[in-house]
Amino acid sequence: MAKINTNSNVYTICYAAVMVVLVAFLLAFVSSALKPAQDANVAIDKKKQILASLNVRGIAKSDVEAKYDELIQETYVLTPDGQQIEGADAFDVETKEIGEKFPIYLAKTAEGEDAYVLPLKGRGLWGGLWGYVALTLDCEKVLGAYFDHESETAGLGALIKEEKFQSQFIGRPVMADGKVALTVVKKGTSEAETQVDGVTGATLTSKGVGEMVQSGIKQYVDVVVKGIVGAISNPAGCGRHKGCQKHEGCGQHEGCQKHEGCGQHEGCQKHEGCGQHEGCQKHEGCDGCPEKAGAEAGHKCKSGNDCCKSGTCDKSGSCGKPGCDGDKACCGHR
Amino acid sequence: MSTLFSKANKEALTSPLNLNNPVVVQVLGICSALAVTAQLEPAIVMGLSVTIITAFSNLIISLIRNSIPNRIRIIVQLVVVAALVTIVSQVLKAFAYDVSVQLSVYVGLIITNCILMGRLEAFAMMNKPWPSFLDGIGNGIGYAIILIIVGFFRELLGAGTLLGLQVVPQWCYDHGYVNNGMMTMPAMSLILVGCVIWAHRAYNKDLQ
Repeated sequence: MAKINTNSNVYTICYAAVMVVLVAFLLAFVSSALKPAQDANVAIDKKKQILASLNVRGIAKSDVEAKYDELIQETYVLTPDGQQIEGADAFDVETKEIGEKFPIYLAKTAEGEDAYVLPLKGRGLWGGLWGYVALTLDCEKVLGAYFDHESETAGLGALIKEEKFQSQFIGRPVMADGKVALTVVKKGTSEAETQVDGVTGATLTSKGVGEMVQSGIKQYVDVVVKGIVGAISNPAGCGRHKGCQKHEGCGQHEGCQKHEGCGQHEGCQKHEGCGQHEGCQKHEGCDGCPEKAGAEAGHKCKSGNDCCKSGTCDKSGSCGKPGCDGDKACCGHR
Repeated sequence: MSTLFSKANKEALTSPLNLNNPVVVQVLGICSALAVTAQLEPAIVMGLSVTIITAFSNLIISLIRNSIPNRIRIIVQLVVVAALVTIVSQVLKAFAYDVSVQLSVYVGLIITNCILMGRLEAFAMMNKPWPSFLDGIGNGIGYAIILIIVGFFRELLGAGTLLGLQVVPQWCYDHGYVNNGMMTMPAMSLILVGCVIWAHRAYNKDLQ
């Protein structure tokens, strides 16, 4: 065989072209052959992370699926307006989509408590962070947390992945002064229950986790409040979570206005007649009819109508105030 | 077997472990020695991955060494290394997901490890496949040893643990012992590598 001149231009170009095509085929083949196994691994890993936030840790790979199915009751995906996307599984929402979609898992912790699991995303020192926090149904207390990272420094920032760091979150209150206050601070400077110790030597990563937890949970609370009647349509759920308790009866936002005075659910019944806020004043029929005969001091009417229908409201069936044209209106007045 | 492990072949395998160590004598691959040695476990896995990749890239380059056009030989070497690293990383993702997550970007960074290019240029381009393969294994292990030594001290002194297990007993902490936070910083691994080189040269007078 004649010796080929390996230094000629033609040979060099052909060699490079053939090599590139061969390697491209090889890599494409390897990638597509291994893709199903990799995807399965990724799905199992995600389930494992969600389970870790429910304090189920260190279970074998083969048990992950069964345990996940056992503990996760239901999942919701909300739009930023708080509307539920029908038929969407929170598990299919990728981490990078959080913010456009809000996946929520209704689950049970390892201890058997009901919890909402909220996926979070944030930024650390070198790259992305993500995590899952399990909160009680009223979003008042942390039941468990799991954090992970793309490329934080091994031995420093990477320690946020360790159970030792994550277990600090268990049992912490989420709210302080009606705001989401849960965060991470420099180790040793924690002043309140809502401030979790960071990792020594990883200030920026710790800060990233704190930011992610605080703003992440706040986003969810905002979204849920916006869509309070829509997505999580269980009416009892409304009165039970922080957003509602805080605003209950204030009449200033959508969720409240809808409920104001309806008397149909817990939040309303509790406050009816307290006279301290707008929603309640409407119920306080008695104030509109000061002359009601036989009314004991401090008597509260069940509703405005009751008062006026008792017949003792006023002269000529009107409370006598301008614009009042009937029993009903009477009691709307003061 | 006698030809497989002739004196020259044995030399190719064992000299990188000591007198021709890639890290402490040739001072190659220092960057990754800084990055992955804060803990022992990533150091071990990284050493293992580099060993496999140096061995096989040496083998492949040695097999095709006579056909490689001289002017694009570095590119050819890079393509072979990059393809191998990609395959290893894909296989790890499919079959050892936890390990691949732990090594994250460092697997990809093996491509830029100078030991690989150094051995391909210096050895595989002018030797037969089998000695090249042994040379790759020897250099990979020589690199791994240094990583493991550095990782051992950094994790032990920096966090009081080894492979994640607590080894410094609690009573030491009770009596005022504190972990050396400096050890977890990348700069300390340079100083440790320096100490290893010092000890190594003090022991091998002919290197001085």
